Amino acid sequence: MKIALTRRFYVALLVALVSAVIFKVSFFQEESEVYLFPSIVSIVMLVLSLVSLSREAYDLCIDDFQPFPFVRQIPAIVMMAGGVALVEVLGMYSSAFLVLLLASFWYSPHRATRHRLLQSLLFSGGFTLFIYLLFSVMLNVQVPRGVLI
Amino acid sequence: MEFIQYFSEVFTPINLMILIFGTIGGLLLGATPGLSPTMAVALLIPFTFQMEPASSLIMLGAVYTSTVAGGAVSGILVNIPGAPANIATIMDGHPMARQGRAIEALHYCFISSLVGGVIGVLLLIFFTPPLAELALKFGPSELFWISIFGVTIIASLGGGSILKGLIAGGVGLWLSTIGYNPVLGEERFVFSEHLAGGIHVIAALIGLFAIPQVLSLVSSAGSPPGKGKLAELRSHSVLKSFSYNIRRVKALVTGTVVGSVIGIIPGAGGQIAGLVAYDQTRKMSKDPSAFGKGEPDGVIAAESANNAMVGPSLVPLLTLGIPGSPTAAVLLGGLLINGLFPGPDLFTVHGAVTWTFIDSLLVGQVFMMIFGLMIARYSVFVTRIPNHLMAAAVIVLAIFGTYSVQNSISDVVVMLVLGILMYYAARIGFSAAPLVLGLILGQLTETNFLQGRMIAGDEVWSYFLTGPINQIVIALCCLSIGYSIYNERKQIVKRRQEARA
Repeated sequence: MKIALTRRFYVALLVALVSAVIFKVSFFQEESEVYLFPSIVSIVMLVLSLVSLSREAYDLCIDDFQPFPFVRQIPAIVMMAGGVALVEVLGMYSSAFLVLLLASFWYSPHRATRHRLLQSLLFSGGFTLFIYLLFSVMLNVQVPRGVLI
Repeated sequence: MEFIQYFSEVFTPINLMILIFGTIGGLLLGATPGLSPTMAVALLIPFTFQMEPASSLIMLGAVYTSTVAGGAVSGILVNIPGAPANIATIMDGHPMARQGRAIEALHYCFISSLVGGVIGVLLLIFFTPPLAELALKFGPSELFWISIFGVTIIASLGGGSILKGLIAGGVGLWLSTIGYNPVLGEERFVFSEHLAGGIHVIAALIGLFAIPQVLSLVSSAGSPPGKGKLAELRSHSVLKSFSYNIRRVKALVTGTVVGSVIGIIPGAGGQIAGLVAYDQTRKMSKDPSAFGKGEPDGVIAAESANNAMVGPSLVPLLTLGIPGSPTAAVLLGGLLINGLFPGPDLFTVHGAVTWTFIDSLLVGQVFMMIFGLMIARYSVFVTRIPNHLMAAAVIVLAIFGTYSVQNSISDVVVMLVLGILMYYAARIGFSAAPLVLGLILGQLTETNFLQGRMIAGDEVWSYFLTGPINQIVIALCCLSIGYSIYNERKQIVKRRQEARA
């Protein structure tokens, strides 16, 4: 049988490499008893990923791939990461307000107008108030406070 | 028939009020991402200090019951399971909501919860002594195999490929080992300060389900929420749901039986009851391919199992002091605070308090369904929220929900990283459910494996491989994997034939 170098094969190869790394960090440790269970898991994972690789090589699997819409998602990932990074400086509620404002404004299907900005501001303010009432007032969760609240 | 004798105690004005508030509060807390039933019960324990013992236990019992069902609300509507127990519910519940059938899914959720919950509590009432004896027969080797059985179920939960399901489960098991060895207490795999305490299950749960949801919402943010959904939502009356739900006998019975059996096993946790029931119902279905795409039987089996687990999980707790689930462990604290020590005395010396508590669990199931159905009526508002606003709200809820678990920003970082990676893993055929199940079962599996090795000494193999319970569970593991492989091969052959045609 001929080896099929499909994108699924390359993904299976990547999975096998990750399994090999996990096997390496789990198996080659000094205190074997502490690492016994993860070592067993990593061996099983390595075997499974090699079986998967061989099956993909001979094109014996179901094609279950979907496209990656990177361009639409990168701003959302940056907003989430940025929001968490700003928690220590701005506080949790201010960061949440910023994330809400940016996400609701950026991903809105309508054109950027002053009216749309006002709508996003109202939504962000209202939802931040709801979150404050739920977590700080009702559940008494102590969240990091920053320059504002 | 002592339980009938104390029924009137549940209906005293103060107890009834506590039961109603506990149920509504539990439903709302359960629907809040990040707040598991265990946390909700733990949060409320301080409020019960000033109450009579029976009233305080009624409160904790009502919250326990309703948070388990309430967790399905956020799961079905926004794909964030309120608790690990609701993972199976969202597999078909959320696709139903996306098809405009959110109310219908919530109806099945609460009606099935009532059926499973009532049967579970009746089991608690009538079968406590024999069930307690059964629970005692589960030692580390049996619990280890039960966990492995849970892991083998992972394979068929992966959706398409059994291998990818098992690999994802393996990743979950391995991730659960980050932090400390649960028996020896030594630190391992702490590659970053954010991983110092290991990966918290709730943080992982929110990340693996909520963040991929956010990323798919922003991908389709331009498309308006379908207006055609409303007609279908309105046409589904509660009576119609009742009639359909009660006719789904196979899913209801599977869910209830699986939930009851798993609930009684100490330490197994109700978290896997829904998944096992879902898996078995799918395997027994005439059309397994419909599952994961909005099949009501998936919701019915998962939710009846979740609530059927509640009653039996209290059997080993009340008779032996061994909690059957993490929430039951917190309830044990509530019992001890009230001066009630598990054992035979609980049903004789403190009979009035214990039977009032058990009776309240039965009545609480009915209240849970009534208030749950009321909440379902308003779920239409959530389905009408535009995608871009929903995405923004889910991001913030996920961050706050995760932070509130341990007041830790590291949990939030872990949640985000896992969530983003999971989104891309899902695009190449991996599923979040096996990974989460691996994470949940990891510590239980490792603890029982290491304890079993210590008990067995030089006879490790015979300790783990002999004994009737061990052998039955091993056979179940083999059957589960074998059946999944058979199903996958059948699917591949069918697709090839279709492609050729």
